[in-house]
Amino acid sequence: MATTWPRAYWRMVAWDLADFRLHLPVLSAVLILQGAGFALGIGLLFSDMPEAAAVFVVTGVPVMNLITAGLIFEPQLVAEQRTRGSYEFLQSLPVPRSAAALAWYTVALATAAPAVALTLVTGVARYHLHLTVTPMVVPAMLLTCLAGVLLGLAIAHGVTMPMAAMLASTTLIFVMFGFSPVAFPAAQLPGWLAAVNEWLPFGSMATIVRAGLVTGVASDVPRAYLVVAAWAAGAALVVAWAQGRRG
Amino acid sequence: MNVRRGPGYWAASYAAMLRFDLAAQRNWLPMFALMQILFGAGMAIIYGFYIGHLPADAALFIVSGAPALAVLTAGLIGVVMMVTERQQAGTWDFIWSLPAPRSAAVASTFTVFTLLGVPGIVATLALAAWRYGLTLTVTPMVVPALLLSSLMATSVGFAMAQLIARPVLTNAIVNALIFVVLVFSPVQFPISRLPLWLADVHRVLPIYYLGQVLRASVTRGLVSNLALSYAMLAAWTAAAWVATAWVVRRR
Amino acid sequence: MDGDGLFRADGVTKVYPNGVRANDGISLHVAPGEVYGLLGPNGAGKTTLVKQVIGLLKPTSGRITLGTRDLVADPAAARQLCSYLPQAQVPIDSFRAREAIVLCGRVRGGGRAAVERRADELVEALDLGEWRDKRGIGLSGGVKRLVGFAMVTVCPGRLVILDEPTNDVDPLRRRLLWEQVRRLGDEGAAVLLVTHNVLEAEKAVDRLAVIDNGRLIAEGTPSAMKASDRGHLRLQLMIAPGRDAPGQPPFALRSTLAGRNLMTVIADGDAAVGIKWAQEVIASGAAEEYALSATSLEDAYIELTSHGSGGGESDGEDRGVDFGEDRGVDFGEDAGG
Repeated sequence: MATTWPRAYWRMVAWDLADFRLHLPVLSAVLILQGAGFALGIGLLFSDMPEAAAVFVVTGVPVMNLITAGLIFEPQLVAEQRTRGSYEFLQSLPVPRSAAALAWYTVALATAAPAVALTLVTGVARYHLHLTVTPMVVPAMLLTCLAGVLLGLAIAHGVTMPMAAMLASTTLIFVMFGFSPVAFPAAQLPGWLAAVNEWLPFGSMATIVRAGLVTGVASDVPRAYLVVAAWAAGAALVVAWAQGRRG
Repeated sequence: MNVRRGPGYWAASYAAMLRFDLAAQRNWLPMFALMQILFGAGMAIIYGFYIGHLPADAALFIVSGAPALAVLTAGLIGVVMMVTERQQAGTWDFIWSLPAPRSAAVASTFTVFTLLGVPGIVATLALAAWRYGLTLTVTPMVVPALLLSSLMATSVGFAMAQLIARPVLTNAIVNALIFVVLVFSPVQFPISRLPLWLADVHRVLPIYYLGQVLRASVTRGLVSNLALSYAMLAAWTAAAWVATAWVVRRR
Repeated sequence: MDGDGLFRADGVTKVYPNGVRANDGISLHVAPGEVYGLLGPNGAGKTTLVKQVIGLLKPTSGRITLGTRDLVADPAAARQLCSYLPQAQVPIDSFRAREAIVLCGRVRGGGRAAVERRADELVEALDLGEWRDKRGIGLSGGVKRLVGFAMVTVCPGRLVILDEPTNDVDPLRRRLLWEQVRRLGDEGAAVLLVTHNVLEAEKAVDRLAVIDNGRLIAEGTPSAMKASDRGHLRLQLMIAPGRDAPGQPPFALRSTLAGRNLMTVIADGDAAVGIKWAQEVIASGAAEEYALSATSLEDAYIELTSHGSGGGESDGEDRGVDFGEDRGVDFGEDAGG
């Protein structure tokens, strides 16, 4: 009774959507708030916001949208499954792991897309920005979202204690928002923190997306692509290991 | 068969539930303190990264606003997570079937979480002040300020989670609220910067007043509407207690 | 003294806002010292009933009293007078096992020395010594259940309500738990026990009621409930895979098909005939094995619940199915085996 890969994939998408159905509108709303809301609100922090800062924020926040669904929601959902005891059941379903992961990726993208669009539109309107959108923005966003999903899966399946998983995802939100050069330039971080961020994925994710949205701001873009791809690959390995082990 | 009533019985129940609740939150403690420091001191530091170069008065504003963030998130996240975790596991049935009067059981929970909140707030202030190289004028008002703020946040968080009664929804709302609080609250910037309609909203919500009360306890001359701020916090606490009393008694 | 601690439910009905009739006119009573079982399929309304006793739910109509006290009017009194072990796990992740028992006893108003002594007794009696000081988060479901049982019985109420107390508990400790339940009764408490484990219930309770679809459809002592099957035997046939079950043989009184097992109830005089029939079926290849045994409460239970809600009348007094002789109000003074 083997199911073909494409069929398994669509079934998992259907499952995820059904499982997620109750959460979807609320989580979309959360992302929109996180995106457009943050972009608008951050201006309040400045008594006089320079345009360069606005550009950075508006082109950086969509990155947070793209990875939140995968990096934050997924571990939370899985932690909930572990507490409720349905985790083992779901893992024993006869669906190839890759199909399940890709199904989740599809759902995550769908959840993030409206927020990304709204963030950009709102930000541009509010701060009177001019963005030069190039086609490179599409692979940049796809790759960023994928990396977020894979990292989220690595945490969700690699960390067995639900509490620890929650802690990990909360810490990651903080790092993403405040200790990585996603919505502000690396120069504004203390030197050592900026150096660490050369190797973390978040700053690089912001760089590749920013390069597709505006010209002349992002630098070292090819390296950034490598960093993001490497993190995605590493996360994929961790996921494969975590789901394969029978410890 | 004797059924005990009266203040003596209430006090004994309260004491017994206190012991119970303290043991129940034991696993929680480290997470709780960590969250407060992340959201309090952490945000204060992060705002600095966003703005870049921070003049001294802006830094003081942010640092004196940090404890409010710590308190708010502790109330929103800490007590809410406890309530939703029990809702998901179905363990409220056990708690509500204990013989303690509802008011004693709730009072015990509020006491524990209010007290649990204090160390994180203190740590937040210390960290943030150190990061920006500021000295704060700590006044004795800091004690009632801390206690009332922590109590209000605990009460409102508890009431909200019990009223909503659907853990997934509550968690999502809290996630959204955290963002709004961290970005749009006239706690880390003056209320005058908000668009008028939003400023009006904050004159009803407790967030701004929380910031004022805590700011006044560690600075001099920055807060002019202290009495009103205390009154609003008290009003919100009372409202949360009324809502809680209603929701925990319904069958 | 206000009453002798007799527990009564009279015509308890619970209709949810969406129209679901979870309990329909349930009436029963439990005397002090008695262990009373509530048996029934999932969703029958057993947990709904006990939640109304302890005050977590309010009946739509009906009375619930303990002695002369109205438990519906005074839920705070209900919680003081009754102990309740819910179906869900107890929230003791952060507690050490013995600590949870002691603290719960203190909440129930016990004095420290007495509670600590009793907690140690229970840990010993339930063979929980190994986990005495371990935190709840690391305990298995069965151990937590036992700790939960100890928590609600360290200072038991006049009525002790246990909702599926042996879930996840290993067979050895299950016996220890039943011993403690019996001891509760011996010490004067009335015990209301919800379970879906028919065979265990048979051994542990004094009387039991079968609840189905919100109604009480049968009541009596275990042996009175088996009385209609007195002089009967159970003949069980294991059907061969891929073959159809044979029809009910003419000498069988009734039969049920459960998976690949055909269970028939026959008169004990027909034992020889029954065995011959079974051997013929096996010889024809339609079955693999047969077994002949005494009927148990399970057969009576299956008979009751597979016919739906018993007598069918919606009158609240109708108990649906009689067992043994009708002695008026109370079935089964027969203490049985």
